[in-house]
Amino acid sequence: MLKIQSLAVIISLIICTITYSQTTVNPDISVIGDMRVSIHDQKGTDDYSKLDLALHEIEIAANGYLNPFTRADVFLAIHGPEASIEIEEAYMTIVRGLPLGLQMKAGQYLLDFGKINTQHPHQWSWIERPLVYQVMFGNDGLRDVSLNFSGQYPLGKSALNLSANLMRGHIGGHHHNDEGNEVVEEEEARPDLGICMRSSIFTMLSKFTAFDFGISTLRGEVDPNENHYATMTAIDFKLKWRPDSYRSLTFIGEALQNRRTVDDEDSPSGSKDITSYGGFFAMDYQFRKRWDSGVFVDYTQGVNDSDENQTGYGIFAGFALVEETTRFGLLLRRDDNLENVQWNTALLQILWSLGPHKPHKF
Amino acid sequence: MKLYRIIVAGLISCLITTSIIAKLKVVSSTSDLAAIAREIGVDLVEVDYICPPEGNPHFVEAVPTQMIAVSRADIYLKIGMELDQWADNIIDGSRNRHLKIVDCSQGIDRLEVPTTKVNASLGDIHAQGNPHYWLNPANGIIIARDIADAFSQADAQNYNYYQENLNNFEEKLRSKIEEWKIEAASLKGIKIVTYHNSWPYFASAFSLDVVGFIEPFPGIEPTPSHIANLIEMIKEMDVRIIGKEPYFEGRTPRLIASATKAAVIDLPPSVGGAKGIETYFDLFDFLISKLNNNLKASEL
Repeated sequence: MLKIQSLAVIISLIICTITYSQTTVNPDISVIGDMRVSIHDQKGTDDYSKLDLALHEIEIAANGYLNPFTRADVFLAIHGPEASIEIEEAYMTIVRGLPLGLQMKAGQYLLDFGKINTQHPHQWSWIERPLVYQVMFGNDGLRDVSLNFSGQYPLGKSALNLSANLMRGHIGGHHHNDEGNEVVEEEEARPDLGICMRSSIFTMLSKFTAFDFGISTLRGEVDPNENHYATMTAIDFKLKWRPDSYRSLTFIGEALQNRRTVDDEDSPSGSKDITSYGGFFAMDYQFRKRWDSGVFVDYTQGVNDSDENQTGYGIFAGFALVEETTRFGLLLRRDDNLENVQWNTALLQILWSLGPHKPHKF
Repeated sequence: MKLYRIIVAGLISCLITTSIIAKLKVVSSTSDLAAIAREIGVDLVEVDYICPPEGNPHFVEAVPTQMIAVSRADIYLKIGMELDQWADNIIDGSRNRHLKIVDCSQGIDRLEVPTTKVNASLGDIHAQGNPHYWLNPANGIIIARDIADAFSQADAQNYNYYQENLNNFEEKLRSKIEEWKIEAASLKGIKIVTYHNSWPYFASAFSLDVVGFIEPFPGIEPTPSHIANLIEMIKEMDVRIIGKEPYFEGRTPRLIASATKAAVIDLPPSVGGAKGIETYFDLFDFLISKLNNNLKASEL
């Protein structure tokens, strides 16, 4: 059934594209494939020490202008051969024409909370979404149906970015099951609308060195039945030195604080406030045009329990045959959880990109 | 008396400020378009560019400070022909609704326009033709006309000023082209190998024969088998010059040179790409002089 639905969506997309192209300019269509070969030694799991081949994700993107002022971007994702298509992002952006130099974005999209949440995983040399994002927001990071206004203003020789999102309020719990299908938690009651804001300063420290520092915060209802709210705050930075297209050195890091009210049977009020933390840091060194390698450290406490925690660290290396069109990534990581269970993972990522995928921003 | 002086000083500074504000603000993708824009706009424009002259114009990472620069601009000058696709990110990020975008490739007689269906198996090929058109000085005139038109539309009251500067630029460029052709006479028919296919317009202008590239396909890193074939070809055709754009690595060209009689020379394809190249005219002075000097050296 899911396959039929997926097929129907793809056929509709192609028909729409062809019909559209007959009347106006065709949007850019691109497809990114992410296949993974992995093995791990986490005891007690079904795939302990078994080599696994997985079609981790196929991303289909359609991007283009609707008119001189507005563009639309749609990203569909399929997580595995048995999975249905899910809308990763689908939004329109008024890019120019609004007062005060504002841009408006509306639809479902990855919110600009922290530095990497808006990025798609194929942009990361360290391959996997940091633990803190997986635990706090789910497998696909923080995304929601939202309305965004953002502005970019000069601040001396720097650029100040301000962004505010009004969210539907669903700030976590987006996960995939073993088949790769999206698991949507049923809402017994509608959560209140949430807000998410980010401000960041970008500056060129030298001709070849760029630095970005951001602060983000969000507040939303996490349990409408119990009227429980969460407030999350993050700081992030990215420092990149890139003297030419053969060498670059990037440092990137984020730290996140999660404060929320959770159920507590021992408490007279039936609830308690908890504060938990997480963060990650990565260093990526591109030493040849097509080669890069680096290290990362990953840490998170539980979303509802600060006593739960998980730590990960590892090394990665990548070889891009021709930019992003074909890339091989290798990740060796070690994880350690609260029960002092440790396991190692080796993962080979084979990434390919078909079509006019646009250059990435800083 | 003191108050009078303050008022006069205030008025003068207001006038100066107004005249600065009145300047057309122009941002271009590359330093070459910026150099031509300066020749046309002279005192009435402020010109900035995005891609550093020593950088590869195919790959620029869009950053917020560039978007801020474009947000204040009246005109953006694009190379076009898919070379500066990254400019779209910067232009969109600028949120500038008044920005006039000028694609300077519009009037160019394009070279190497594919006649069959283009796909990625041909490398980083441009479906609209080779985009390094500013390297034929005759195309400088076409670019300058587009820029003068854009300046005249955006600042109609100075139409005569821009047209006069355009005429002066055209006259000087035509005269220089004749000079360069005489100076480059010795280069006619010489066989050269370049790293990237950046030089068909330059080769066409000065009758050079570009017989091969270090890249096996545009934008693709050299492979051992391609290098081996290239060395054989260079020996067979007695190629004496390997031209390298400064933003490419030097190891492979040096390896090839060491196995042949060819010499590697840095050929900056942009204004500002080497010391002494301050203007569009300097660029061709530099390139022709450098090629001539190396040709003489190889004949000794």
